[in-house]
Amino acid sequence: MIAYQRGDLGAFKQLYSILVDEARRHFERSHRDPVVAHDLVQDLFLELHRSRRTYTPPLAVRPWIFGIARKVSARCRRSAFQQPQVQNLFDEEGELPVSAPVSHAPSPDALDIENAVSALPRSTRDPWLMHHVFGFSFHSIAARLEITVMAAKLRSSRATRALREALSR
Amino acid sequence: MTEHHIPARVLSAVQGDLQPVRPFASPGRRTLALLPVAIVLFLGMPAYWGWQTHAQLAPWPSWGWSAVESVLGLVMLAAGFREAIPGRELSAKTLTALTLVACAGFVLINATSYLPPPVPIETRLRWLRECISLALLFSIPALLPPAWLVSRALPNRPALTGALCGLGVGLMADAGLRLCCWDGGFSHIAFAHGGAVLLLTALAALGATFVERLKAGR
Repeated sequence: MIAYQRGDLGAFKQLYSILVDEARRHFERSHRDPVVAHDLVQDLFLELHRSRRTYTPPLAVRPWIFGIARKVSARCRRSAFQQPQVQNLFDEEGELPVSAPVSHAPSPDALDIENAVSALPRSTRDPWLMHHVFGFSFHSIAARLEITVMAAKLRSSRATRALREALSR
Repeated sequence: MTEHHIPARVLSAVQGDLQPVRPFASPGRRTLALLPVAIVLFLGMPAYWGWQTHAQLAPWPSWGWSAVESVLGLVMLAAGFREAIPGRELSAKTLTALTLVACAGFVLINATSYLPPPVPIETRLRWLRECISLALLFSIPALLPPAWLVSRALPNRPALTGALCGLGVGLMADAGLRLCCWDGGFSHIAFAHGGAVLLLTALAALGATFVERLKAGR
């Protein structure tokens, strides 16, 4: 940790290797959803990096890191709690509609896109649809899906990458 | 040790800002850095009031008790600084003990100068207003250095951290205020001096919460 505070990237990588599994388990216990836990682990290491000066050597590193983890968890919960839960985008089964309501038969390209979007996992599909189809900001998506803004961006970007791969085949 | 793949987002953020940082000083050392603020509140308030009104200040034994109250305020500030560091939060027992010590200290120290003056109620009301405004005039600017120090940290309970800092500054302000106060009655001490301390505590708690919300939104 001291080497990391001095600007050693190797020390950060070592710290990451040592703590990432423990951090993931910590978030999985408190949030249950593995995708959310995965995003929160990333948020934790970003916050840890921003706040690295708050660690005072030679105190133990783990209590400090899990103190930050509690903060990251609380922020995630607060951002989810503060925003109103608007569910009217979702259909009766609680899913976002993938196909647009059209009167005539869709073109083959539109069908390809629809199939590719439907094949995406729901955790990445919903943020992508909400941003690229319904035009919501990432802040709004984060609030509606009870995730962080960074997580919303990350999931949407994953979906874009997966769609690009699926459609280029 | 297994090799873990660091996500590109995290790695690029770390690589983009990897200059060496100086770790925070311990809460005690940061509190000592605020000693000038305590001295300004302790000496500045009686000096200002003496210069404004040519009033007689409190006798010497009171200055000793005020010094004790200032130290108590610094202890509260140190507790606030410690609370602001992740993983070093204070336990419920410590917090209860600190609150009790602060309240007992405030009451006992002010009880040493108990002297209800034989003046009409209008005068006492004016003194109440004057004491609160003098306390706030000095202590709101004095709250800025600890607020800056706390905002650089990462408090898990910002309201509590702010409240401890506000209480600390409030006690330090009361240490100076009681030296130039003409009213030693219990009701005046409770409403004017205690009210000013409570007001500062609430203000600092709100301020810290607001700053943390702003930081979270970045």
